[in-house]
Amino acid sequence: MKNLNELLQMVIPKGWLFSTLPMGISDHASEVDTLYWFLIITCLILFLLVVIPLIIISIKYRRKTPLQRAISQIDHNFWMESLWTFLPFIYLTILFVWGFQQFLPIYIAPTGAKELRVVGQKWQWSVDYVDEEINVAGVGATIAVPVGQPIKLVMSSQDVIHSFYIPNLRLKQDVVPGKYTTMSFRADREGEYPILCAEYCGDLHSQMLAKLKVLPAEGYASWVNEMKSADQEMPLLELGTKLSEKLGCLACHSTDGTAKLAPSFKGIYGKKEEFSGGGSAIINDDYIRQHILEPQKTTAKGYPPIMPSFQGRVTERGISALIAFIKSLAE
Amino acid sequence: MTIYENKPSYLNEQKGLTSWLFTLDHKRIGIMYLASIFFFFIVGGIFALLLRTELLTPGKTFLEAKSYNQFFTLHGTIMVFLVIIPGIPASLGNFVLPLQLGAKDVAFPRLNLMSYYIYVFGSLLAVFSIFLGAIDTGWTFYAPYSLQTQEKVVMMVTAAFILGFSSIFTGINFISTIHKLRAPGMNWFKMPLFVWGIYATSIIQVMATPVLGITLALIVVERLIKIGIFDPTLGGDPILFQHFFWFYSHPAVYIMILPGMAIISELITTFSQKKIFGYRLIAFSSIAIAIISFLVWGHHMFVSGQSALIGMIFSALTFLVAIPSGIKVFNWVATLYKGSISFATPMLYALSFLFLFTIGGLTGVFLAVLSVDVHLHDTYFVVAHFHYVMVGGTFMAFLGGVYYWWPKMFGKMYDERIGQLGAWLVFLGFNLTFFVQFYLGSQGMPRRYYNYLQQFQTLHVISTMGAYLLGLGFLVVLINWIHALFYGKVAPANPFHATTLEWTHASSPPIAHNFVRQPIVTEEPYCYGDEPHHIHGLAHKGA
Repeated sequence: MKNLNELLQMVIPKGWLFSTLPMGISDHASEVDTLYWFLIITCLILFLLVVIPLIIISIKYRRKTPLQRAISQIDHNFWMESLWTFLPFIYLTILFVWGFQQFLPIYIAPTGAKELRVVGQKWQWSVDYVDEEINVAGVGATIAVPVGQPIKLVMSSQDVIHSFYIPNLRLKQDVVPGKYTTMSFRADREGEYPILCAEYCGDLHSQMLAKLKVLPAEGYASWVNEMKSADQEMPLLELGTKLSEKLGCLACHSTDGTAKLAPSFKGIYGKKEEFSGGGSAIINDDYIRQHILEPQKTTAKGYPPIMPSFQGRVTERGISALIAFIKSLAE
Repeated sequence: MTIYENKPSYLNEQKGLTSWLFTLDHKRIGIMYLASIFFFFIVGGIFALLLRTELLTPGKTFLEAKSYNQFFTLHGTIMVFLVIIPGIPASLGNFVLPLQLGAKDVAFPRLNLMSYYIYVFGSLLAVFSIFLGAIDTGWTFYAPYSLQTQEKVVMMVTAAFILGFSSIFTGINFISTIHKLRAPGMNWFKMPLFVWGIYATSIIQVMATPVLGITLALIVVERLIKIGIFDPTLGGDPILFQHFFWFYSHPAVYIMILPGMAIISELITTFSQKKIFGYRLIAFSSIAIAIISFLVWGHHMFVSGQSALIGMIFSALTFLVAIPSGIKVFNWVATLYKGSISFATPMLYALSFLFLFTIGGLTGVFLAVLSVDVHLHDTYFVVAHFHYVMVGGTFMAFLGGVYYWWPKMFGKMYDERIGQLGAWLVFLGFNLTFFVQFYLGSQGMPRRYYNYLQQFQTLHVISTMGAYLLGLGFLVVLINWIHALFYGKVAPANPFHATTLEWTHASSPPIAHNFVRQPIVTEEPYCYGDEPHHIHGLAHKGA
């Protein structure tokens, strides 16, 4: 099948016609794309094999007078019928073998693959890096991986079924509560790519997004360091800035006044905020602290109640740092 | 509809509302089903238009995320359980099947009426549950989401459970009728292909529906008394739910499409005035589809977390089911060859079917390929694929069938020009709506998404415009039917020169007992034979 792959890639240059697929960023993706294009071309041929005769016959044998009769009553032809029973069988067998051959490696991680443990919960992803001992989480969280490094994802869900979908890798795997599912890949192209939830999981299913950031080895190492770097040594404001990104705050709260999924941080400190269930409060240190730990208590008017709790995920000093960060954006 | 008073028929034999509500006549029950099904089709269609309108812009257009989720669930649930599954068998099957067999009625007329009332009760319960708290689980009711959401899942699931019995009763009735009530001389290979299709469908209905019933009952048990079956927090397994659910719902796909194929066989042969090509192969392929359909459910679960080995087996079996469907398409095209092809409205739908079902079937091949399915699963590609099969296939056939048997059902002709206009609007609107969704899905746009990336907006707008055009097309069709009911010209007994018994031996509309004399069958069903076949009024073939 390898030769066929190469042959087809010569016949169909990348980006030919219009790109019906998002950019592939791994060997697996380009192999799947080859098969996908093989399918498009062969199915187009099959479609024309049905439709062109259909159109020609319909025109040629259209009824011209109301009383016209069919010019033949042939009602079977053994060889023709055998032909269109067995030729599809051969075609479909090829497709089956080819597809299965590409399918299996998704579940067999090569030795030395870096293990990431993924937890899905309504409506965000949380990823633990086993070797590096770091965690990234939150709506729009950035999940970095080194380029060319085999990765193995071990995934589970905290609540309902989610599905971890990276279109650029042509990979998707359901994330199921009560069991582990795995998926392995190797991203070969640097850049940022969307990760989506593909299994319906409730109100904000379509917001359950994250980013895959494929970095060169050095870039990855410094990203890990940045994630790990001793928070104690950092000035509060700097730490707050860093945490706001790391914990995914900025996915929903903008810093420039635009309303995303939640009120912007810009100018919010010291302001009076209306709540969706009625009532209001001045946004001060106490409010911010309480809202980070127990976000479900109050929700700003006009926004969905989607903020997850950060209880246990952020230290006292971290909260102070975030307060300092939000304060710095006050008007 | 005073015209009927001149001529005795099932429509005027008895009068008044109660004569309809308590009728045991398969024809009247079929008509009642037809009206009910199209009523719910309009309800489901309104939800579809609301959904497409919301998707005009990313983020909020006019609905909240929650309402959007409820609406796509209701669209799916209503269209699947209230419209397409009962659709053709319960309405046209009920009306046509005994006539085609040369029988006076179905085998169990009382059971038939009961299954109608079960259908009505289940449907009303489903609609009623919307007002108490519309469900937001998707029509698939996946656990554990369906066990945890606050909405009225129990009531909707109970409705689907009840609807299942209607389906089972109809299936039993048809199987018995086909086995026991065929006219003298009608052996199995003298049955019209519509009967073969309905027979295959009935087998699936009787064998698969109980599994859905059990699955839904388990959801209710789990929600109400917390017995752990599917919920992992109670020790259950959510994948088990998917196995149970698709064990029914995949065969159900063939409950939906087989009757459509059955209608197409009738339309193609009648409107080309030619014997069907490969009668036996078409008949056997229906049975083959019915059998294989039970063995492919796992192809809905390639990325669910089932083992790769199971995925492989289901992929192989899935490819097998493509073969009989392909056979049918080729045989239909071969039937047209050297025919005398008319482009009357029913035939336009049959040709639309060939075009759209071929696209639906071929895109299904993409999804049977394991590695490609991993990318396309749960995206708009799948949405487009099954709409091409369910709407482009089944529903086109349904509309074609209603047009075809309209003169027989009501004794009135529809307006041919409005019929053509409607068929074209539906065809164009449908393609505009769903073809772009193949592209969206390939690009990685997941289904059931309230929000989407800005770059997809143009295609979503095109799709929505297509949906409006499709809605307009359906409206034109409904207007044509209602117009025909009141102002249509009186139909002759056999306006399309067909050869099956409902046309050759029964008047339009038929009398209450269907036939004046018991038809005796001596020929194959599609004998356009050597002598000119332009029978107006009653034929005397074999009578």
